[in-house]
Amino acid sequence: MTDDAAVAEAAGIAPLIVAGSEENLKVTTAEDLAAGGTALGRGARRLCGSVRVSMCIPSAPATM
Amino acid sequence: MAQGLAAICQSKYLPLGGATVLRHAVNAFAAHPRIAGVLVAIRPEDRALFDRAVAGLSVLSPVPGGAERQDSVRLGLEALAVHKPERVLIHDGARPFPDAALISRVIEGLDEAPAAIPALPLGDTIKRVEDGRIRGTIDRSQLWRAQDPAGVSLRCDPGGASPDGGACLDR
Repeated sequence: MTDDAAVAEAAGIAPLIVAGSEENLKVTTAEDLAAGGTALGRGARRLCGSVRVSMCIPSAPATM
Repeated sequence: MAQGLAAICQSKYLPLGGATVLRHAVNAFAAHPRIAGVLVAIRPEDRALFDRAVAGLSVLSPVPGGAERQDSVRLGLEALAVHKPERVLIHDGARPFPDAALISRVIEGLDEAPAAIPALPLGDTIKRVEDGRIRGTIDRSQLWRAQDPAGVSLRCDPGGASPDGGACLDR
């Protein structure tokens, strides 16, 4: 099972759908983080206030 | 935390905006007024990374995760049982921006159903392709992109209106 809803479905429960958010993206690679001007970038901008997104999001792939 | 909520995140340590993706995710829940506690399932060998990632945030002691995602979720739920949460939100630590309104919508969804999950309608046209040629168009109206956090209600009231415990998830 790849998501939590699938677990509930397997338990015979039909989960209620509520409105998601375009900013609520899944980050799996550093390249995702470098994608400026995206919904992820908007989330970063909101989170970081006046900080420019280019400063907020690392432009180089991370090595952590 | 008996009446409260708790969130489980799973661990990713990619940096984002001077912090980590995980820290943003944890903070979204820790800062939410209706979240009573945040528990993260981590790989034990990541403990130092985790401590650094959430330094200064109010989180419960992390629990070791399992081999698969659902194993980590189960282990997290078991660790939360001592707090007797009525509702639990299960989040993927790789999603750093669940905003407060989204979290509230999931919590409120649990007023109506034993489980609730945020999702967006599928925007792109979906084609069925065989041998490199389009053979049909899939009806998108029934296709949604599932997100997190997934909310589950753990309330069971054996003596209540639903003698079989209804669709409780804590069995």
